Amino acid sequence: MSGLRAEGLRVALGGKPVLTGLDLDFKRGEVTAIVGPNGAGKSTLLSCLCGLRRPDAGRVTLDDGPLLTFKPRERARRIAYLEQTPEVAWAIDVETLVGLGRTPFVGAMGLGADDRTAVAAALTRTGMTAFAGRLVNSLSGGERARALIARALAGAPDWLLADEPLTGLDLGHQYDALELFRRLANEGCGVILTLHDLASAVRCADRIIVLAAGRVLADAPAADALSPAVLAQAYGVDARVTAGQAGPLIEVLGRSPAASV
Amino acid sequence: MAAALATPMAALARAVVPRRVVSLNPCLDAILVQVADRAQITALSHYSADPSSTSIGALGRSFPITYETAEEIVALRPDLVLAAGYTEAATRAALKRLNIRVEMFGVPSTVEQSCRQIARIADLVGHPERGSTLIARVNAALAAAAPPMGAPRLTALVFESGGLVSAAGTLVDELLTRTGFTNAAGRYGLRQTGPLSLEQLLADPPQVLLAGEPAPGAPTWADRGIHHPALASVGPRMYRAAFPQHLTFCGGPVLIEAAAVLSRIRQNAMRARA
Amino acid sequence: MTRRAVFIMVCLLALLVLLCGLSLMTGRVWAPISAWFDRGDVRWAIVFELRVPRTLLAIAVGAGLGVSGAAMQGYTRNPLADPAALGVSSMAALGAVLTLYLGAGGAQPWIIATAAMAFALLAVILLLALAGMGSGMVSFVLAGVILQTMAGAGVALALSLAPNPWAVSEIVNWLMGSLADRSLDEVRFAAPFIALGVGLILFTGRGLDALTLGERSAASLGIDLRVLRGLLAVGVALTTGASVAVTGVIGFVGLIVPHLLRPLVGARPSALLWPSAVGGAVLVLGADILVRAIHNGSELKLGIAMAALGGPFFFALLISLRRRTA
Repeated sequence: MSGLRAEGLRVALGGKPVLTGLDLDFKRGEVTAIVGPNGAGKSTLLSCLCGLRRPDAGRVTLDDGPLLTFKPRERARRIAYLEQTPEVAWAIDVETLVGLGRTPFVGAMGLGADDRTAVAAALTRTGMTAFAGRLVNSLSGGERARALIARALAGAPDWLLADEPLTGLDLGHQYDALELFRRLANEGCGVILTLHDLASAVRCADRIIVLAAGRVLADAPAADALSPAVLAQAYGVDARVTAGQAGPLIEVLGRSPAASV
Repeated sequence: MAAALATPMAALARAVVPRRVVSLNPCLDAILVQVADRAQITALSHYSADPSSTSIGALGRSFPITYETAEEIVALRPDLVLAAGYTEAATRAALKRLNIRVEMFGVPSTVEQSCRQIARIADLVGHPERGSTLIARVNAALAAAAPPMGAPRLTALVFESGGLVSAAGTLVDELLTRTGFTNAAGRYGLRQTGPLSLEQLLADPPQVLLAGEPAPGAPTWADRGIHHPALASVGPRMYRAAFPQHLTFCGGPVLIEAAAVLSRIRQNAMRARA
Repeated sequence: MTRRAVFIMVCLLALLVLLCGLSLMTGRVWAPISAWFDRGDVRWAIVFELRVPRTLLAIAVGAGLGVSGAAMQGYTRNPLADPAALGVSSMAALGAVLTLYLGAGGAQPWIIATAAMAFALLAVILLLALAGMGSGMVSFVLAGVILQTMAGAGVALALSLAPNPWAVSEIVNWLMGSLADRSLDEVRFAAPFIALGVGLILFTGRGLDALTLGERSAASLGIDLRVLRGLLAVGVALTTGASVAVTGVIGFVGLIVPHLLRPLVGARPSALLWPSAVGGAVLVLGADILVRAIHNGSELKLGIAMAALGGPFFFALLISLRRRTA
């Protein structure tokens, strides 16, 4: 079964528990959004899922094999990770940046023909072909974010794990990015995103996981996960979910007496 | 078999007098100019043309000089090179590889060693008799500078260039002893030539302080200690005299002038105390 | 490599060949090509026994330092990283001095070089550990400067404690490097270590590129950061240690060369490695020729010439960086 699974995941940072025994199952062809308040452990969960962090207890399996037994290169070919606001240390151009996404595939000789084709494809998908020769540090926030997404796509990964990918994007580009994730999932990629904005989550995700204080509060198809009870527990707000034209709308009415667990 | 060969070989070696001698050290320069023919000396070290580091004065400027790199030395086509420990190891190794004859000399710490260096250099350049003459002059100068029998010894300190005090077991130390002084450096726990704190000096001043005047145009930061106003407070208990710095660099023929100067200083110091 | 990078490499190699010829001719004694074939000419000995080793050593040392600087900058994402500026060379000198003067019978060249390489490794490990703590550009450079100062003081201390009447001039020799009068023995000795070190560093290209995105993203791209760190540390230690053991500290090569080449070959770290090696050789050989061409007084030490070039360069670099990040 080609799935990414977390079994009994437990992580503590600096003595404090961040993830307290999570069991989650992810499928390819789906967009999963992980939402929750600050400090809920969303980024930590994502780090474990892509093999960057070793959990204190439990494990992550990819296609039934423990993730950490995969060779780093092999793992990197299957799972692409997009961290929150990655740095780009040098004044490279967009094409070179996207080319870095081919790192798990290239050898000592650098990019080959296949690699260049993949880079071009990634640029096209993110609408960045016209920017190929521009220096990354000359791009606007939105263009830069799209270039970084293109980098993640250059490897044609089975799984895309992105931590807050909408940071710095304006409404229009947020829409574009979400549409892109949707399309990727339709093509068979397993997309797992952590998102701050619930409306975006509802918009593009097939499944929403609400995480608070290292525990799963809700795990259900899209809007079903965001019931007023869950919102109150997770965020400490009194909210109402109504149907809008493009999808469910969440209105925050005030603070809720029920505190976050 | 080897012994049978040795004598003719040695004789042959002695017979071949070097015609192109290059010296890489200013102290060896000082000896060389006294015992070799002018035509034999192809070059002296560049220090001998530098007024602040030469011991032979204007004489040094009348010879060609070298800056002691292997390239320059090779280009001079010497048949004998005189070098001391100050010469860089890489340069010495390079000369060895190029099969150039290098004779090494140490830093003499006694008059005896200095005289032996004179004899050796004189031998090397084929004028052993000039070596003997020079040694005789050095010994005569030291004898003339020796104090009369039973005369009291004065304690003294010599500041070499760079603010360093000459310690026991050096050439300067023996010079002091033979000209009627006692080197006070030992009293301050100075075991090798090095800097001395003025505090120690003021707490227990020597009877005579000998410090060179830095040559004009050759300032060193380290010499400022000699001009410290604190020394004035010691006043008449300590006799101060100028002792030209170039007399402290080397032995050999320089000992002649050094002995004379020290003798004069002792006489003046005795008079000042009286 | 891109076409542009190939072009730059060809230009640098051509320049290197030209400088080799010039190097064999230049010195206190001008040795034109006609003198090279006349064994009886005294200049023949100068050219083949003195200048050939000196040229080869300049190329080896320059290449090693150039590529080390490029790799260190790539790893730390800091354009101010350089083995000499950050104390690796001074630590290597400290290792060599301690062995030479205080070790029992440590006059064997391979013992001295091993000590130099070991101390260089220690310095690199310290620096990389500091860079890894995400301490920011200024702290990192400061740490390197502190390391350099301490190591330099250590050299002076060791030499002043040793029973060596020429201690002061030895201090100068170690801390202000020179290629003067070196022999083919020294080339034969240092070159294999330098070549090995450069080889290891060239393997880090892929990882250094991935690090452009930061350590987490690089790890997610399948780069084993520990292996990368190890290759870099050992590679830099071998090249710097072996170089310092035979020439003393020669600085700023690793700082200047990648910086000059970045606008020409692109800022991707792996693209800079080979060109920095050749560029470093060109720079050191060129500077050494200059030092020999100046006939005023004693030969200027190469380390001093590089410091005179590199100091203002370092300063200008710092100012331009501040302006960019301010």
